[in-house]
Amino acid sequence: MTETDVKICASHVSKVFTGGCHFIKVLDDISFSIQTGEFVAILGPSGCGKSTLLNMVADLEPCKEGNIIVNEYHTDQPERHRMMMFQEAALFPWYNVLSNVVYGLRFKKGLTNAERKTIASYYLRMVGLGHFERAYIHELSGGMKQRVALARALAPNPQMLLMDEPFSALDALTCEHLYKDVQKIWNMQHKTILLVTHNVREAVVLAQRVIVLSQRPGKILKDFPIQLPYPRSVHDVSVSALANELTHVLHVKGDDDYASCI
Amino acid sequence: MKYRLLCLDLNVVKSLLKKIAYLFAVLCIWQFLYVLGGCSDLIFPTPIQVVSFLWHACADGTLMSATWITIKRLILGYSVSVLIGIPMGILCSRFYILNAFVGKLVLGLQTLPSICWVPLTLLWFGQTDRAILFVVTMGSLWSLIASTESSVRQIPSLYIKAAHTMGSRGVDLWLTVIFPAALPSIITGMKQSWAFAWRSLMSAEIYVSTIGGLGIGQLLHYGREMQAMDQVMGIIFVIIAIGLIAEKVLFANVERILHKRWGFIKSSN
Ligand SMILES: Nc1ncnc2c1ncn2[C@@H]1O[C@H](COP(=O)(O)OP(=O)(O)OP(=O)(O)O)[C@@H](O)[C@H]1O
Ligand SMILES: [Mg+2]
Repeated sequence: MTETDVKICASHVSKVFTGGCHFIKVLDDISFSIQTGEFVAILGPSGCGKSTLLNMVADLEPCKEGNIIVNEYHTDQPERHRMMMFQEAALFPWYNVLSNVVYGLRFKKGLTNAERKTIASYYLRMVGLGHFERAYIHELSGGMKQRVALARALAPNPQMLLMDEPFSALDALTCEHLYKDVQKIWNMQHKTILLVTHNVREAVVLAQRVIVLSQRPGKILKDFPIQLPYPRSVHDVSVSALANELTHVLHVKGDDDYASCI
Repeated sequence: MKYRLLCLDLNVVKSLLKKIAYLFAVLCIWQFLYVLGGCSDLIFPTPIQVVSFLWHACADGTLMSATWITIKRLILGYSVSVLIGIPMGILCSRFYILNAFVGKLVLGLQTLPSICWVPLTLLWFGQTDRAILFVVTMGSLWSLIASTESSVRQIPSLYIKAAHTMGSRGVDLWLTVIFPAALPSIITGMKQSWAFAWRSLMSAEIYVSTIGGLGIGQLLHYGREMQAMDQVMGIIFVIIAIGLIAEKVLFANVERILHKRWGFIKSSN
């Protein structure tokens, strides 16, 4: 791999929130780099600063200590080559499903409105919601909403996809379907994907590499490569074995951290 | 298809009949109380007197013209409130300094009953239509500013974050995300402000007798002056009817559309 293949490069990133008269150190000296086309998961316990880290990569949160370089540029504004999926679907209820997907395409140059609609409905069909173009958001189930959010994030054909626990509110069966969808899409388009999750199996099923964070303040405990062939399923024995191993890492190192806190 | 239409018709007829029966029962009780109480017509008119007043007032056109004048005043005064109040509320939510400055003022003026403006407005504008419009606007403007400001401030930040990552900024962000997200709650504020405007107008019309024409409130006032209790009662019914119709025609439809789109549970009806 050459230098130019690095898509996201974080070096010595720390983050402190000041609330009133107290400080919360959320992230502690995080450094990692992600190659173009790589699928990386950030795994960590709840409240360890995963969302904060992802928001910093998406430039929704300022990065004061350390720096994050995305696509070889110092970033200062969220752009369309980075799309983000949130914990909740964050769809706009005043638009219907199709218009929600079109929304992300409005700033793409050189497209007519008709072309935007065609692209949007193509991605809706890809996530299996071709028949729901005219539906309103409140008429969809939670899983369908996340699918629309996925289509909306994919439609502008971003180079990079940032996902913040997009499946954490869904049932196991829906999750399995979406895991398949995401693997399929990643195989087809080879985007750089950064997925934040607290679900060990989810990380193992999807990612090529798992970065394990500790309890708050989040430090990198381990950078864990997953060398299993795609497509993977949550039911694979090898996936379970690796998930166990990762859980062990989280527990052992995490408990050490607890001990040092006390 | 034909059958279903018939069913629908039957249901409508049934509910209409029910309403008429209900009304009739109320009138009967009213007449009964009149007979029972034995008070004079000056204090307690019979339903027949009230209905005949309404009939005559309709026939000679005074009721229609008064209603028209009142509604014109209401729409004019309320429009001024909306045209000032909503932009002002949005500006307040946007600029912290403006909010710190205007917010307190709004809070104070909002608690002032609108009838308290009447002495002031009489001194400023005299017995004119402008005096009435001023009271209506003062009565409805402040609550609209306050509710618009809080509607905009309370929209989920997630919407804004999502729009940001998709490249929406500035005016575009306001038009496509912030304003639509706040709209249902702005409409609720507008509805409340409309109710305030209507109450203020009635107070103003009762106290300010203008050369600009007789409104409903003024008819009510003169009814008292002439000790015409049937007129007072009749006008009260007209006032209730106008309030109800405005609510049903204006806001019920808007809320139905919002409900269909935004999909939240509607509290009333
Ligand atoms: N704007 C903020 N101001 C102050 N503290 C904050 C802010 N945002 C987050 N925090 C704190 O930072 C810590 C990490 O938050 P973050 O949302 O990044 O956690 P997370 O790892 O995504 O957790 P989860 O898995 O539950 O989503 C939390 O303890 C929270 O209290
Ligand atoms: Mg989070």
